Amino acid sequence: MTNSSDQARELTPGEKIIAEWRAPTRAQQLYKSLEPMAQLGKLLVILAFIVLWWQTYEQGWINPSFIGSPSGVWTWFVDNWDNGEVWRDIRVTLSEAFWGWILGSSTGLLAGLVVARYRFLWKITSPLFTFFNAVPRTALAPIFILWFGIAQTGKILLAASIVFFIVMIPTRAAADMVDPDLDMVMITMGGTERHRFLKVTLPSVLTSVFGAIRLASVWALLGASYAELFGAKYGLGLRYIAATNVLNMSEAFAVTAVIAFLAIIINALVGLLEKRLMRWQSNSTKGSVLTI
Amino acid sequence: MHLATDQLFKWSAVVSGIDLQEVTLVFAASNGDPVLAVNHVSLQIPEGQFVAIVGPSGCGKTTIMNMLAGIIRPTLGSVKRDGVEVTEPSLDVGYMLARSALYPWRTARRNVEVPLEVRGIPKSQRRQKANELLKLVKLDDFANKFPAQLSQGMRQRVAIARTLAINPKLWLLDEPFSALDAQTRITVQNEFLGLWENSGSTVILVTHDLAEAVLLADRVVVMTARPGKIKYDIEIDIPRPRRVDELIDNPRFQELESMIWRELRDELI
Repeated sequence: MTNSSDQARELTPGEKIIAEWRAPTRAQQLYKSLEPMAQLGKLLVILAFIVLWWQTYEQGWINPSFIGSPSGVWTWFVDNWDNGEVWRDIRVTLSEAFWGWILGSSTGLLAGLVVARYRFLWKITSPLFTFFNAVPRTALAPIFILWFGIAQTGKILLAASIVFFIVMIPTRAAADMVDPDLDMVMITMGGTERHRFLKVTLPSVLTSVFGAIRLASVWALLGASYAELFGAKYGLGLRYIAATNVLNMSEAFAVTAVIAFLAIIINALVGLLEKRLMRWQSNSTKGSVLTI
Repeated sequence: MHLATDQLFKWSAVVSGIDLQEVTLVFAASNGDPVLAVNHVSLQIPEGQFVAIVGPSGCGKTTIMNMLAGIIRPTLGSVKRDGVEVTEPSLDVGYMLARSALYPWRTARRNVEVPLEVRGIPKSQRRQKANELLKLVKLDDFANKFPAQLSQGMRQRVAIARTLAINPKLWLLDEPFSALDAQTRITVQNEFLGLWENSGSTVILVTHDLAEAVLLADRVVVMTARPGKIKYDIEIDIPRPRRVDELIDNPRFQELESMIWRELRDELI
């Protein structure tokens, strides 16, 4: 009934903006999402870093036999990208990190949940946990060589000992801070102890500690590489220490870079998993004021 | 059918409904001091009645609800349902809180499924039942949304659907509409009334909102400030079915509201 008059009426300035709005094309969207300026900026920062490094080497600001040159590192990568032994070392270190991460996270999660559930147990064991958490785990590496020899077991356990506390401490805190309403609703619905644990406590805790589990994945890699420095059959840590022993700085720097790349990749992969599992959190579609 | 005589005897002794006899609850504050939260309260609620309990903050309303839900036991006195002492949560009681308390990692539908999971109902049946219930609260289009993607009012309607899944004989509503804005509140209240009227189930609604109490309930109980005692108990003789939006300018409603308000006012100072 008011339709005809609505059409005849002149649009307000705001309505005009809406009416004239054209959705961006796919190409425009892609361009925007790639953030070209930011990418260019990143590239420039990396370039600047390499130039600085190269000049440090060239000008002899630091004794060149102590640092690798950019070209030396590059040459190492070109020479070794299809080197089976390097790939084997990567596999070995990665598998130690992976199992250390799995072992440390699962036991850390379990221990955190148990001490949160049985408060008295936490009261009497907390000094012990505090002590072991304060022990510099890196100092254990030589002892682990003694106990487990140069096999992978010692590396896995060292990585796990670091991961364990990274996961356990926040797990205990998170289990203490489960929303009491969520628990209460489960109780009133007739949920048993098992229901409360599986459907309330565990999901709540995992939500809070996933960040710590992700952080721990990188620490597991660092822990495993570090343990290899003290003796190993294969592994990136061993390759690194062997290179420094003969002052092959190009290789030492290159191996360091490989470890860093692996850490970045691991972090990104676990981050993807986190995003997938936590998709229920990404809710708010925040807007901004449109200015003309 | 043949019935054992002791069974017959038991049934005849049963008073159907809720019976609070001289209930006192003392709890220990965080510093260890005892606090008298509920003071010698007796209250009978026949089956199928909608009772609203109003009173100032801290008068022990929620404590009474928790006793009825079987989460806490009274220090003195007895809390009975259908003649049986309440000692643990019961599967036919639906408890709703001010916050919807939905599980944020579950979709609307999977939230409604929770009480059915607890009862061990198979997945396909759960899903079908949850879909039906979401339809009842007009949220069938939002079944796969997570709570964070829903408005406050929608979340509370999902919570209603979840409570409906229990098929409760007793609804314990602890200010379930208080977090909603004025317009949404009326919608959700009407929706709840529509679902409850003729269901034959008992409702106990705890609220600060006197108008809400008079609009929804058959009976309003006013409690004193802590330690909570019952001060005033009045029947709301407004016929059903009711619609909240139509009652606002009903003279009987206004009369009852101001009558109860005079009682409540003394407790606020």
